[in-house]
Amino acid sequence: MDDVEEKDLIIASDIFRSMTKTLKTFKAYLPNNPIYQKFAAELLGKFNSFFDINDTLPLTVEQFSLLFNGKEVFHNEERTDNIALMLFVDNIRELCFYKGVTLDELISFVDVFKAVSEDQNLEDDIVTLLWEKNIEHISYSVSEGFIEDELPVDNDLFMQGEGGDERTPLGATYVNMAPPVLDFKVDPVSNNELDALQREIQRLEGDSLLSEATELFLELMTTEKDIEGFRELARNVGKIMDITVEKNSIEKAVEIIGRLRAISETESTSEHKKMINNVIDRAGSKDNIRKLFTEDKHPESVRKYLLLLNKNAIPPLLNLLGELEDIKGRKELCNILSAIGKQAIDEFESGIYDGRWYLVRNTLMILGIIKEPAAIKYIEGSLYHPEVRVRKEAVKALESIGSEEVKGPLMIALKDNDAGVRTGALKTLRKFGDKKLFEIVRERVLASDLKERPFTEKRELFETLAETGSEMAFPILSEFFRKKGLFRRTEPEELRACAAYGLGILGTKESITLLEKGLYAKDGFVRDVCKKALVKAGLK
Amino acid sequence: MKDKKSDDVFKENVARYGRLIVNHLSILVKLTGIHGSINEAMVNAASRLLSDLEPFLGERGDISLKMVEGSFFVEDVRVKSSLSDIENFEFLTGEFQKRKIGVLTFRAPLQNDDLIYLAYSVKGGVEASEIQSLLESKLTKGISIGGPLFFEKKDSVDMSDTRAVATKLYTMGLYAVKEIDSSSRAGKPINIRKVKRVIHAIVDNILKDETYILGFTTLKNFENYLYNHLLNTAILSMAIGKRINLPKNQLSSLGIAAVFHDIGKAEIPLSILNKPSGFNAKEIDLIMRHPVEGVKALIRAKDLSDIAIISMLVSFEHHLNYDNTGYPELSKKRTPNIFSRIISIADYYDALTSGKIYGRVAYTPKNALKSMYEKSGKAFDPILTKVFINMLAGNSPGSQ
Repeated sequence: MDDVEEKDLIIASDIFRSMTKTLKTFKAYLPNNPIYQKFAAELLGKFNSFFDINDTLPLTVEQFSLLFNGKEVFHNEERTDNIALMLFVDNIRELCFYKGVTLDELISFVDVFKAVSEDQNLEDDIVTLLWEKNIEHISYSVSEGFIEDELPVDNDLFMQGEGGDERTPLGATYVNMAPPVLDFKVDPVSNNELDALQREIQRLEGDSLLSEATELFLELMTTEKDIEGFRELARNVGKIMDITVEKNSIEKAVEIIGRLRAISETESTSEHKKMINNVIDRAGSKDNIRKLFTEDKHPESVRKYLLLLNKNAIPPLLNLLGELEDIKGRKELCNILSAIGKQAIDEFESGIYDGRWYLVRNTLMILGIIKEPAAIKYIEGSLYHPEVRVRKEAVKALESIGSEEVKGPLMIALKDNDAGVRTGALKTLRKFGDKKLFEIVRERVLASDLKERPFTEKRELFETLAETGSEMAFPILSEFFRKKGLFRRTEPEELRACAAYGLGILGTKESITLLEKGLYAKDGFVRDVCKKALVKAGLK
Repeated sequence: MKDKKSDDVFKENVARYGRLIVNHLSILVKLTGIHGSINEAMVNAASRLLSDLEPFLGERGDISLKMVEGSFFVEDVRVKSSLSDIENFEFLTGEFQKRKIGVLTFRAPLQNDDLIYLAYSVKGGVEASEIQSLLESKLTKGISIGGPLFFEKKDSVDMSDTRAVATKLYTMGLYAVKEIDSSSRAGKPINIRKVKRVIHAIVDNILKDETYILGFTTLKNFENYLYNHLLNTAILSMAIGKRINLPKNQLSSLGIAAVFHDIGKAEIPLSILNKPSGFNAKEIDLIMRHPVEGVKALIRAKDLSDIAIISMLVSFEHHLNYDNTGYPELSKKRTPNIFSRIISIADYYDALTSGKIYGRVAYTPKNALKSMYEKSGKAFDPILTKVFINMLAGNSPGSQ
């Protein structure tokens, strides 16, 4: 063996050692990983070294070996990641690399082995995958192994010229190679016409095909009555939906859901409707929701998409709401949730019992927007939440619902240790004009801790007293209005002002007389309140 | 000529039992080095091998296991191995090669003991003739052993001979198409692998020199119209695709879609398909549903790869005219996909020239092209029709 040949063998052996390592690396790392790239580049380097002195690297494939010039340059008896074995099993018996092989080509080549070794049930074999990769600088030959003793076609079938109705022993006519002579004129295809076809061909990429598949399946869903057939169509539309969201084509996904809803309306059987519903459920799956918010998506498209979803989208959307940091985005999501949640109050349970107080508050806000009495049972529980902002929001939500059923929970809120919560509850309860409330408020007004309460609550108590007690409230209000402080002035003056608000609401002759006197009070604040109360009484 | 149905059954049996026969024979021979002949493991292994052989012995009376240049065959059908079989295949190949065995023929009736004697004789013998004597000494008459085999010369095709390659490809194509049709009619999963391999090879052939393979599309086989039609449609379509500069991968997708374009017909009984005329309303309805049934068959069988989508579109649209007349009926106007428009031209032409459009006499190519030209712009894409006619009339692309 001369020196050159010896050197070639060493480099070739190194190439296939490196290729095995590269295959293992490709299986472990993503293409953007530096280790992946390093191995691919090293493999190319080794090929380049070989091609510095040779133009081709032809190999014979044996079961466990690759031979170069009849000499083994690769031997591996393992069952996994074995390049020679994989080639051999797929009947490839010769393989050749050519000078000029590129990094992309080597990556494509190793990718084929990766695909085959990762999925034993892969539809395609190595021969098919290599063909599809169309690698210019790598060729291979396959032993097809067809042994057929009765071929339906034989090599002697060809004939030239006209005629050709003669039969072969197998019943076929002989192959007539002569082109037909036309007696009509066909214009040649112009360049513009070819260009038009070319443009159409170029559009035959994945997205455009997927879009055509969607149209096809939706078209078939409008007529398919067979349940199993319809199920398959619906399932595939669901798959396309996932891909569409993944690819950020939200407008397209919106269109698909819209079309599905339209088909559902015209479908007669509940089974068909259910299948369509399942696809729309899939559109609102946790994964799809997450994809919508992981990349820059067009907000208007996302909004339209979300508004078309089913109630199953509510829990993942709530979870997402808990993660969003952008206030505007949170607000928008609350509006969307309130729009899709109208008939699905129970789906908000996860938000109500979430550990994040702010998410609970947002959920209450949404329930407030929905205004559905069915939500009261969830809101009531939130009145015991340790976070005061949650309890306040609960009261607001109850106020927003405004039905008779909110009175019970609001009564609970009246006992809250936060004045804001109590005041909010009182304000809402006042609107019901319930006599029972008069007794509660009267008790509070006459209690010794009244002075401890903040001004806003005191005012609310006196106004509620007037509104719910009418005439019965006057003696209490007038008494408070007449009380004047001697030393600690602020406290009685505050109570006088609150009583003045109550008198204004009463608007009776006696109360107006009292308020008119109040216009001359020493305390400016009392005077102002009396003035306002008189205006209110007058309006009344 | 062999009966085609029994031929199919035989190939199915080889696909099912061939691997098992090689694996179990290999295990049995290995066990001779470990156990005695009455050991339970030996008896069990022999019993497994016997049950693998029985479908063949019951059907035909005898069966040959051949080893040709490292590959196993049951009769002339290759036994395919998977990675998990490699060890057993490799062991048995080694044993056969060492002892210059090329063929083992098993004849009914066979018993476990015969197979156990065979295993010991193989292990103990030096070469085929000696093993045969050892077997005979044990009064085993149901097994005979032959010497090494090699591929016949006719099987290797000179790849530079385009005409010979075209012949081989057309043959392979017919087998692949037939297998698809048989599977879909039997409601079995469709294996696209073989079709892909053949179509890829045909694409290579068309790109190199389409003359011979295109010539085969004039081959009309009345006994197997459907297979020839599917393959002819594929070849004609790919040839059109070449003329409009479809890239290699898309030529392959076009060819595969063409092979599958009538897969919906598997739902139609052959008694109706083969009727020359006189269809009743129900039968017409069934026939007109085949484009939709095709989509449903493909959707069940395949994922949403580009090839699958193209095949479904083609199945749905190949009877839909360029102007949206034809069938199936549409709820919304659509432009048929370019692949569908190509395949509908090839499909129509081949059917017309085969005389298979519901009882009509076959058109001559000239008359078929004339009729299609008259329908251009209505039934067919006008540009593609021109490409097609120019192609078959022998006008070179340069003259277009």
